[in-house]
Amino acid sequence: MVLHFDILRTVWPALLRGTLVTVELTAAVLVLATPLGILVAELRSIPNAAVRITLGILSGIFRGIPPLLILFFVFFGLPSLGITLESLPSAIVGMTAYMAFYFGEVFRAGLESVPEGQWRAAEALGLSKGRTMFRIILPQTIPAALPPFISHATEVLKGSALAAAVAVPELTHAAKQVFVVTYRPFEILIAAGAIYAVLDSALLVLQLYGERWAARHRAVR
Amino acid sequence: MIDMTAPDKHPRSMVEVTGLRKTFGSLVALDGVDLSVDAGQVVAIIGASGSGKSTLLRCINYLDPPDSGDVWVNGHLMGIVEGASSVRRAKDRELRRHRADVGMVFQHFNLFPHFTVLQNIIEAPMAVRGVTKAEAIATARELLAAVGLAGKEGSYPSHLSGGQQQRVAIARALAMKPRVMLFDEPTSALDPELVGEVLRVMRDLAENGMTMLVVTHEMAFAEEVADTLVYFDKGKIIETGSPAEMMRNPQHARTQAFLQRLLRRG
Ligand SMILES: Nc1ncnc2c1ncn2[C@@H]1O[C@H](COP(=O)(O)OP(=O)(O)OP(=O)(O)O)[C@@H](O)[C@H]1O
Ligand SMILES: [Mg+2]
Repeated sequence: MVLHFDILRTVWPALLRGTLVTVELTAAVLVLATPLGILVAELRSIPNAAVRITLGILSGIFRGIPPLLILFFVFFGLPSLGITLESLPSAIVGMTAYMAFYFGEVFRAGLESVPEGQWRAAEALGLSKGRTMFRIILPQTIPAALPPFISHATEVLKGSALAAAVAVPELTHAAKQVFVVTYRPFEILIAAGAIYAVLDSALLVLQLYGERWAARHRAVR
Repeated sequence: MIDMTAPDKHPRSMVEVTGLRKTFGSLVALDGVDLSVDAGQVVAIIGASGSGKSTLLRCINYLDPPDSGDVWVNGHLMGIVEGASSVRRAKDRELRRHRADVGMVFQHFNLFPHFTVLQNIIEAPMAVRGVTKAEAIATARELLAAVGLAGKEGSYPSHLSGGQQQRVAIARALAMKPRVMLFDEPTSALDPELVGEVLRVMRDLAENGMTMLVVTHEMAFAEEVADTLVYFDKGKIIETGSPAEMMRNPQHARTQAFLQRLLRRG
């Protein structure tokens, strides 16, 4: 078998367009699902049992059914309710919906790793709840929450390939489109894999940066 | 600060607690506590584990709002806002401002581990009192010098001994310029050789006229520094008096038993 990697010289614009869509989709989901995850984690720790139980059940459902089903539901199902979204927005909404609950679990564990006394000390000093959360508590969750956060973020990146099923022209979809016309699936899929690997390492750099920050600030106990 | 007081009810003491009651479910943690502390006075509070000492301190600064009873600090009724014609519970923001008058020091220091010593001290004055960063830093340096930690501004808490951490925690509370300081077993988590340096700082503070409520089992400190000793039992104050007098001659049988156990152990 002879490999012809020079095929990439003709198909790279298509792969690049796919890469940009993948990055866009992943970034949008991370930017939306992270604060929602923090919110879910916070709501799951409040005294109101109805809220806690409802969120617990929703969390189980969203993390328990296939992500593809959720994407189909948003793209094909919601129009029945009069909500019609384009493919990319529907993929963003669908993935954000289940990732918010995965991140909710991550941040819940992170918040539980911070001793109760930190809240009490901040409260005794008169700091507001919001300020306490963002200045005192969340930074201390970094050592516990960062590694699972990054591994979930990697899942988002990989999972973005599912969006092809609702016609989002992301990287995997783009790769397939070009290999079916060029008949060079081997080279093109290796190239696409290499691009995913590069994007994965960007997330790992983020993790290293966060861990260095935490170590510098002695948040590691 | 909002004036929350009607002049006719204005108590003279710095801290005035009346009829304080606090329950957790069916458990009565505070069962009608009355206590009055004049400005500049030091009150030492002793009592068995679970008798409600921490709960009392936490009710005084409304970390745990009491079920009933009043807490006056410096003439202001904690947790209540009195308008021209109505009395209502303070909103969170108002409560935070009431609380800023009361400093609190915890058994386990509770310093913010990701902040330097300096950041630990300046955070609340800047956020709650609205002082400028320069002012906050100047105050922090003075306080650090006063607690014997000049030059430690840039250290992280994990690099300090327990005694040093507790002194930073005291400086952090003082940076809010409180009128009253509450100490909840401030030396119980310390190695014996580090207790003295913290008690020394507390003694200085008392000598400089700070009003203090100190839950402690350091009887030598209580005898030397406190004006009043309070014995707590099952959510009630059952004996109160001058420390020397009470230690020598406790009136109540439970106080006698408790002090005997304490002195034998210590
Ligand atoms: N948040 C809470 N929820 C439920 N029960 C509580 C809570 N805080 C305190 N209690 C209970 O109230 C009672 C008084 O507790 P408190 O901590 O005030 O005692 P203490 O005198 O400070 O004891 P110690 O010497 O052990 O610190 C105890 O029985 C305790 O279990
Ligand atoms: Mg206690």
